[in-house]
Amino acid sequence: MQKPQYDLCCEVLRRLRAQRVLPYLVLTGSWCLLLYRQYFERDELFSSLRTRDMDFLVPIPLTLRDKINLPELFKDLGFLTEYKGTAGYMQLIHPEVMLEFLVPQRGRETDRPFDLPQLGLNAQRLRYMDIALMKPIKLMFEDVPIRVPHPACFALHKLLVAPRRKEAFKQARDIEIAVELLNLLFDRNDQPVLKEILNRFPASWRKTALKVLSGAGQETLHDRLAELGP
Amino acid sequence: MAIREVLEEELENSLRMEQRYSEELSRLPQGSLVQKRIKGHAYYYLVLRDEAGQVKLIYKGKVEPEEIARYKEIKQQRAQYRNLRAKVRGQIRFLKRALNAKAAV
Repeated sequence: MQKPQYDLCCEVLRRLRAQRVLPYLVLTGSWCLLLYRQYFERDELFSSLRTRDMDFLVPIPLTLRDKINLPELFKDLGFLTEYKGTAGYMQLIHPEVMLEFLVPQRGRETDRPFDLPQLGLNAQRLRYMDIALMKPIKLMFEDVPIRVPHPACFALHKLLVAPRRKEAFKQARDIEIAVELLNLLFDRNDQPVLKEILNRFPASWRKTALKVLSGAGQETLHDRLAELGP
Repeated sequence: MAIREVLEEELENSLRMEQRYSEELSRLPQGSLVQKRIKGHAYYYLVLRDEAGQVKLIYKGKVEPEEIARYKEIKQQRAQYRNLRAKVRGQIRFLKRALNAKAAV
């Protein structure tokens, strides 16, 4: 990662921590992979290209007591508020990093952003994001402890969202990451965690995850994962 | 990973970003406040460029400290946004070059 980008990310996290917002958030998306190097204790992992989006998952209902206006909090760093797409999801943009906020999509599918008045912004609703909240773990981003989804949750979530992707390259990337993470988890004998997560899945989710693996020609991984299911 | 698609997505983001910084810059009040001392008294002028690029001085007289601070803040913000826009423009050039080079391979 480039130094200015890394420094800016650290500053963003430090400010969120100082405002006591960080413990409520879960870092998701490709930046988690960087932190998973700590979990797997291997620095060479996940060195592939990363986009600038830094996604924060907000558990709902958000029980934050004090209101904090995040666009104002980051304004002096040069962040601007941008409304993305026709639905108008808010994004805080900067040449080094783009901050996005997500909430789990529950119930009927809708494009409407989810208002988060406690944070002074809105968030994009995404399906299956509850998985990322099932078993968060704490890892260090420089000197800042931050919650990220357990790699097992991250991998299984990727398998579920892959078929929903419109762009073929994103679908391929989701599967590639899921496969890499699952292999690492099996190597580390993390089957109990995978089993625990899979057991909390509805049958249709387990079926989709396995279908994606066999569709990608990952038969061995498919069989190993199928063995863990109920 | 499909590098080309990622670069294209990043280029799209950078173009959007450049537009937003330009919009934000055009929204900031124009000009900087400069102080002139005449017979021991401080008077202020607003210095700005007109549409033809000519420097213009607009007499403001005596100005409240709050307004001086406001203009100082605007000046800093303008410099920051210009700097960040220049950075984005650099990224756009780099991404376009990279995409053209990839297309040529």
